[in-house]
Amino acid sequence: MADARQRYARPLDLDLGTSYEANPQNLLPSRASRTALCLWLPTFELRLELVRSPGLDTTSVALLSTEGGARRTVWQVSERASEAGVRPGQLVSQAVSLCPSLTLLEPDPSHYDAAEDTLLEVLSELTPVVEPAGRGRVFLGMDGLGRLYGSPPNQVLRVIRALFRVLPGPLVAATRAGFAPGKFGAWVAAAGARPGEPMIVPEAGLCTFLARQPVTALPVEEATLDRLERLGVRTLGDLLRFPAPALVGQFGEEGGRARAWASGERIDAVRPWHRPRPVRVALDFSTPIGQVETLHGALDRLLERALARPERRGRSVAALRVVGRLEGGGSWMVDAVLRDPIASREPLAFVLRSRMGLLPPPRAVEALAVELFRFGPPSSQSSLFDRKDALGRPEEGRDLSDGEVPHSLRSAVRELKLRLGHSPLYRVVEVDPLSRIPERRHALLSFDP
Amino acid sequence: MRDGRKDGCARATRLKPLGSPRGARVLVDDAGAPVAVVVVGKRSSRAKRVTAIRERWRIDDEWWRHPLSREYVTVVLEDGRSLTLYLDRVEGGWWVQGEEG
Repeated sequence: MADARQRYARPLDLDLGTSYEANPQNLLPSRASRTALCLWLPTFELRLELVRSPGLDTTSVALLSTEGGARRTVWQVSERASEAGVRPGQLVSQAVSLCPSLTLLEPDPSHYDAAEDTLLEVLSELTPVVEPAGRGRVFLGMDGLGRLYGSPPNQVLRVIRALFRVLPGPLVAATRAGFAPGKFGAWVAAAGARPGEPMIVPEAGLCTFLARQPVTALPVEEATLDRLERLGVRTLGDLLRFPAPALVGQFGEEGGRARAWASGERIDAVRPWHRPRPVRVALDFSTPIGQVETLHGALDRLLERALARPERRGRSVAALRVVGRLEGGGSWMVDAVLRDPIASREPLAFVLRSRMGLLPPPRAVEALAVELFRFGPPSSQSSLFDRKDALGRPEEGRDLSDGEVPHSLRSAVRELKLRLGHSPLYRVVEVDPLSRIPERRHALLSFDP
Repeated sequence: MRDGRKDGCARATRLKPLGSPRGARVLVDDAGAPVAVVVVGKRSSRAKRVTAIRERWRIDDEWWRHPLSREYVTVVLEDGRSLTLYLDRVEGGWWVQGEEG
């Protein structure tokens, strides 16, 4: 049972809003696909490292977690290391004591992201419905592809062949593939498949297939799985012995969802994934930089450049990252997802500096890049007049003195100037307010506080 | 003449007129009252029928340097919008000076 839990250890994020009952009469939103192919490359990142250093393939290897600090843990382990007792999440000191010959590798997140991007790019040539679910796992919508590629096994074969074109052979050879109605069925099939032997679950066989699967396959809370196991529920078929009201009574909504997945009533469609083109700016240092203050200065300059790039098209920034190429190889990356999208440099720099404080680069940095990869709505004009002080606190109930420019408006103009090269705002000034000729009463004067 | 877009100082001090008139093509009846209007430069160049005339007035000014004589009329169009037009009695031609709704 522990092995089964290990196999499904990575949570499956099924969006609760995308469920479609098995009734084919229910219409799917346009481009969503009911038939799903799940491709899973377990320990994707470690395998990429082994491809890069083939000499390590037969040794005990562990990839370190991206979190720095004194108590670093192991993220992924090779089979040899696993046989020696090394487990993901263990402290490095524990892992080394269990396996003295263990080779520890620093993670290189930008390398992994590049490989993932390549993977998604080639898959999107085969089907327009591609939905990534974390590095190394992707769902493909296969509705209607039978006419192009033939039977389901041929469709899977076509996809795997496409992977061989862009990814190293050993990596593709380790890929597991599951083809089934809905994302849950496809994921369970992929998790149970052997590398090179895709598991195809036909529509009619979905319920029978799911009934045999361990209950740990369900994307539910760990505590729910523990309770189910204590109740003697081992497989999804066991779960179906309980009526839905009893499961809802015991586990709340999650119990109802679990039953719907187990019975095949709930089908989660694959939805096309849209990723806006990121805005990326980079800076190469002539000598590697280890000083935090210098990195902060570089970060400010990079943010200014990124915000001024025309491809941002006035959108606010919802998520961004700093990527550093480390001295001696490898990379370091810090992501920040903002609660409210922002379009000005200072708050963005503050967020990134805070994240860098928590996860500093482990070594000196040779090159630094800022990437804006998720965007919010364009900064609306109303926010220009939404008065806030320098710390971002709303200023209400106080009238502006004559000629005073609110801080929020001043920073908005600064930002617009960065982007456009000049201030596009104007102040309305009286010229001859009593003139009988309308166009002579007022005029616009460039506003640049 | 220097391009204001490349010269921040020129831009900062230059005034842009507000409410400048735009050209219009106006069909009038025998009495000279507008019956249909096409605003020049609008994306839709379809003529809009005038359903009502709200107000008319006339301005004669600056006779001592460049004589200016305008006959203003505020009309209501078929789509409900209100438009203020004038006929330039010196240079000729119809112009739109204001738009509501």
